[in-house]
Amino acid sequence: MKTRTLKTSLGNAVLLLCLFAASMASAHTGLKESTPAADATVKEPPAQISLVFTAPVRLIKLEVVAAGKAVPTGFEPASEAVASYVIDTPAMMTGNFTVNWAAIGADGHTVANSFSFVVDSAAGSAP
Amino acid sequence: MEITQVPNSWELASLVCKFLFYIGAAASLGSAVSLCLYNDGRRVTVHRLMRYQLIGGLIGFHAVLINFLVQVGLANYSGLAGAFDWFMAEILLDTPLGDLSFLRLAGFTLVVANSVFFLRRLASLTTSPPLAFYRRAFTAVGIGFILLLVSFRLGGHVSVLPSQVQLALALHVSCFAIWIGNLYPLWVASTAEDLGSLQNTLRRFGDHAVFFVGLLLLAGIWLTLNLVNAPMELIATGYGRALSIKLLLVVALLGIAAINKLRLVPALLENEGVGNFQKSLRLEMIVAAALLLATAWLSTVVGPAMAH
Repeated sequence: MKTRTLKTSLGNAVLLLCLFAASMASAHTGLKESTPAADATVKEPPAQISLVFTAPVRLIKLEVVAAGKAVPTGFEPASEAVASYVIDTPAMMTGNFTVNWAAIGADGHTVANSFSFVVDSAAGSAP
Repeated sequence: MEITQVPNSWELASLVCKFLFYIGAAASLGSAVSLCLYNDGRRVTVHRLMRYQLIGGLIGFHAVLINFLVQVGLANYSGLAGAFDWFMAEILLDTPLGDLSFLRLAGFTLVVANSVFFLRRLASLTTSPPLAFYRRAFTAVGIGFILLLVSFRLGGHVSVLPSQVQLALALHVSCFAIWIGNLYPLWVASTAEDLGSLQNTLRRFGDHAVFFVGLLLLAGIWLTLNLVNAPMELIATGYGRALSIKLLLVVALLGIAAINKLRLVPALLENEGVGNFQKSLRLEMIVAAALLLATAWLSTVVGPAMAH
């Protein structure tokens, strides 16, 4: 009984400690900035999307999705690690877009995330 | 810059795979060392330890394989089907992740093949195996474990640091595998009837442990100094907090080990001596598992500040 209580207490302690550590689980190399910026509204469909990472990465996936459909881009998976990427987006139009990306950092960790922006020709100027 | 508050499903899956990888690595090397140095020679003991090695090797192998698929799924940032995107898998195979996965699979394949081979040899023997049996059994596992160590040069937070830090990691991993990987074998040994022989074995392990635990701690301190920029990070960052938890668990484990060495092993021949030692060993295994989980968290979900 004493052993079981000790095991239960230990298990609870470990769980609490994990939650404590998780309270600010930090991602590895991440996206520093993008153009268009996340949640931005722009007037003109961008001819390019640029991504700037916090450290050199190999960008292995980038897709632009609008209304559930992929928008053609000039993206090719990178063979070298760099911190900045500029991807041609010749087929952009107005609407809501989501950019899904995945990259491998110098330490080999895979990071993936997404951001969204809106192209609205009726909107005011926005970065 | 996006910062996740709680790991997503893929990161948690990666965490579990890394934890099982550590279990497999510890079981592989721990069993091989135990067979050579802390084995009581009984056929039943040798059989249990070889089975432990086989299970450890299989766990490690599958953990590496599944982790690769998890990374494919993570890169696709979509549902479960994303883990089986062969186009993305081909891209990842061409990265250091592919190389380190290959090395780890090769390492665990050697461990599994070795244990299967020697389990069959053991079945054909009518007496306890000779010393040469254990030495040959150790060789393949030793080579397999070296492949696991080399894989750490290809990925992970330490892979981008200087060679001397990578060497410290190799020592750290080897020593932890010997220490934690021997906990189950010690449990097996504690079921022996010859308590005098058991006590000698445990004393021998305790004396050796002073050396490799000392090496483990020194290597760990050197790694910490290279991964953490300032003491404040130990409470100010997610990585630092996880490292602090790991350090606390290390202290707890050292405390239990000290009690074993200084009180329980000398008292083994007394009434309830073996029972008390076995209880302590069970607790040590639980704390060791928590420690491996914390280590897996450190090496998957969070990253040191120097990575940014």
